[in-house]
Amino acid sequence: MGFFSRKKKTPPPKTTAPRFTVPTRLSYNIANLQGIGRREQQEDSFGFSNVTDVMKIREKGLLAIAADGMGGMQGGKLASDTAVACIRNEFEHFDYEASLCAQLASSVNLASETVFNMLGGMGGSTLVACIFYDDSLYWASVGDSYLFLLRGGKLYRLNRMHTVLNDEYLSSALRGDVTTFEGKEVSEAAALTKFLGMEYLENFDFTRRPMPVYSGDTFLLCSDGVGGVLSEECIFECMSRTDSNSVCEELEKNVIAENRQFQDNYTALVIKCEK
Amino acid sequence: MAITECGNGHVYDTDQYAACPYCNGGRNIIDFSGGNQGGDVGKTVIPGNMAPPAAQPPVNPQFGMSNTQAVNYAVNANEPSKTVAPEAYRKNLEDKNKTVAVFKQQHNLDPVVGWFVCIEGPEKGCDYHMWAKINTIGRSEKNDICIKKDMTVSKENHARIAYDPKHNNFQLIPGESTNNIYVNDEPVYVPTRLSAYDVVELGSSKMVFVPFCSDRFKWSDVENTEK
Repeated sequence: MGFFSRKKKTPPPKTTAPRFTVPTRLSYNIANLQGIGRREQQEDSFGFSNVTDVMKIREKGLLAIAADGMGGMQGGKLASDTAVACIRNEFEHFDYEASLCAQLASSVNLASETVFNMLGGMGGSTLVACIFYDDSLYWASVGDSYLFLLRGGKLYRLNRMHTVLNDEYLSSALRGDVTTFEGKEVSEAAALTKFLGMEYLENFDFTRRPMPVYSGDTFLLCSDGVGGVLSEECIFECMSRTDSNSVCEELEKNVIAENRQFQDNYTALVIKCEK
Repeated sequence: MAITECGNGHVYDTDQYAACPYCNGGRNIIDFSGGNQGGDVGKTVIPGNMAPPAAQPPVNPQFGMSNTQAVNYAVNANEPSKTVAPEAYRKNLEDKNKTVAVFKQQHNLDPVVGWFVCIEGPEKGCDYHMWAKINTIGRSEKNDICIKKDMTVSKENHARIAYDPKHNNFQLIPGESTNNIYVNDEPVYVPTRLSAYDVVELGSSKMVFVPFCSDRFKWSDVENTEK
């Protein structure tokens, strides 16, 4: 007895479930919204892949992209269209044995090169791209588009903006003097320091390891016509709706209610994850 | 609700729309009228040092900086949340827009910039005009390039041909079609630059691309010599 006594192991309870069960995966309730605002033309582009095919989502994942073209004239639309088409095309040929993070990043680089070859750096596009695969999120972001996550009643912004202001703040933070930054005048604060279609696109943001996605998460990809117009409180309210379509409707209602004199093109993609 | 994904990855309700509302120039049902339509303020732009060299054609004075525009910029400066360009770049952008306006004003029409000639298919021997913009290709007459008799061509937005007056070149942009598009027997999935006498295969039709605007001719050159 004592140390050497062992409890008799109880045999594991017999499972009654069938042998081949597919683990329950998240399903995605998605919707999109696009409007021209007060601009003469639509320069935003967006796109999903595999939305209507549940099996394909399970095999290859769900892709969502929002891109905000810039540069005026037809260049903006061409750039954002190209960016979306290029990444959707690359996504079709992803190798699921290799790292999806690296493949997403290299497809963003390829898209940037394609846009650069087309416009010679005179136009470009911002980009935020998400891949939902195996209950995980992979994302990449260039420029000043927005990626929001609503989880557990809290709103998170997952990406940062690549603007002159942010970069200057970062460099002064690295020097360790954030306090002197307060109240500093930054010229061209909102101008973009990174965008698709620039000659050397480097150090953009993408996930190095997948981020777990849970049931109840809501993701919002949007251009600055939505994210820069509505307050975070307002976006929170909108995203709290239970259905992705009503999230879009609510967002559009609020953008119109803002009635900005120079309302930019607005584009939003909503993905609600459900069990 | 019947949710469908179009060839470009847009999602829409087929009970509400016959074709994808986002592919054909964007949904435009919201009336934002009442304000100044012509503002370029707040466009997403790049910093000044990335701005292209300013080699702009002469600008018609009637399109010069008006008071309203000046006011607009003032308004904008008070809105720090907006994506704005540096002054130099904004001016540059503005010039670009003016050039187009002048162009259209003086000609009062969209001039031809190139053609397609059908060499194989139901409309063999026909030609199609391209204008100085993004031309849509499809079977219905709404399209700029209408291939009526070829039933394998999508009704709307089978593909598009963009003419870029700035660089004087042409791009073929695949549209919503589920059939492949080929240029010189190579499949095309992303926008592709076209050169003279490229053979573009759309559905069962083969088209030869003949540019009018090329290295040897530009409408803006005529513009400049007239002045």
